Amino acid sequence: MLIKQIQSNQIVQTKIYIMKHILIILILTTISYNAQTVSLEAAAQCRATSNCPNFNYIKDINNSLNKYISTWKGNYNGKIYELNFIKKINIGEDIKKDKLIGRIKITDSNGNIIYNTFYESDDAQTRFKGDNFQPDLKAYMMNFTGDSPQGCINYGTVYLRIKPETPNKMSILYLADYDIVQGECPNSFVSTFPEKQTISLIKQ
Amino acid sequence: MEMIKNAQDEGRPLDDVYAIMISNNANYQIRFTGNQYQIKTFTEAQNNVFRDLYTEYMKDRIGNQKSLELGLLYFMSEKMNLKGVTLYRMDANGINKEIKPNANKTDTVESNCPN
Repeated sequence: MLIKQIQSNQIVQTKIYIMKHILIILILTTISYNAQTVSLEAAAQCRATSNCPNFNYIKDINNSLNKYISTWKGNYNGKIYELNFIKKINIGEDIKKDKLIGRIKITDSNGNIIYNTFYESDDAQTRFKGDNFQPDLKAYMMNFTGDSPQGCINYGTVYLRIKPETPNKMSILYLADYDIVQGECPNSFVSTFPEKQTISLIKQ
Repeated sequence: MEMIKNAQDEGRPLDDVYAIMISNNANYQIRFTGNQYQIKTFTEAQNNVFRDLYTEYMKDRIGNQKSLELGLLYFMSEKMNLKGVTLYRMDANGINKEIKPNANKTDTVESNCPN
């Protein structure tokens, strides 16, 4: 009887011991997971001071991207610009990120579609992908990569800005990258987005 | 690589060709240190695809110098299958270092260049 009780006590103690260790492992895993996960805002701001730690997940902890998710439409210089944004989470390789994926449709004044990625079903192939907020957090930056004939630059950053007081309006601004190119860009070249021009869009 | 190919076509030594980038944090130099069979050029369409992937791959590393260095080396070697390119960092104290990925390509290792 006594032996049985001692044995059962030992089993209980062993169980508690194992539980304790599982708990410690869980806590440590959570801590190390959190240490490598940062908010979009924190990652945006550490860039400005070049002191970003190693992280493996840039997460939209504050749901700051949600206000962009929709289709937006506006006119500029006789062309209709339609942009669609969805939010994708946890994508990337060694550094994962929550980001917007954009699709673009541009129609000229005659109704001809001059650029269209609305049909692109693969989110990885739209060539219009979220980067992060600029350090002051007022605009979200998207990387745009259009086809560039030799000698031309048709790629850069599109800044998306929604002012908190007007959530159904968005302004976009495209700034081309500075880059080294080979040869002369033909005079006939027109970039997909007009450079350094603000375009106003309305939420659809 | 176009410049390397040009040197090869013109019969000039390949190690005459290099590119330098000057930045706030450090100055870098890339050189082709491979052999003629590792010279590889890309079409405009391939460049457009790589540009998109490279931008996406590198932008999350901005603000972390070591991560940028590793990202550049990894992308060229593993994504573009571009071998024989060596990266050097020219620090403000006058010391030049060769930067390589480690054996499992998770970090960089640095070695001082001979004076």
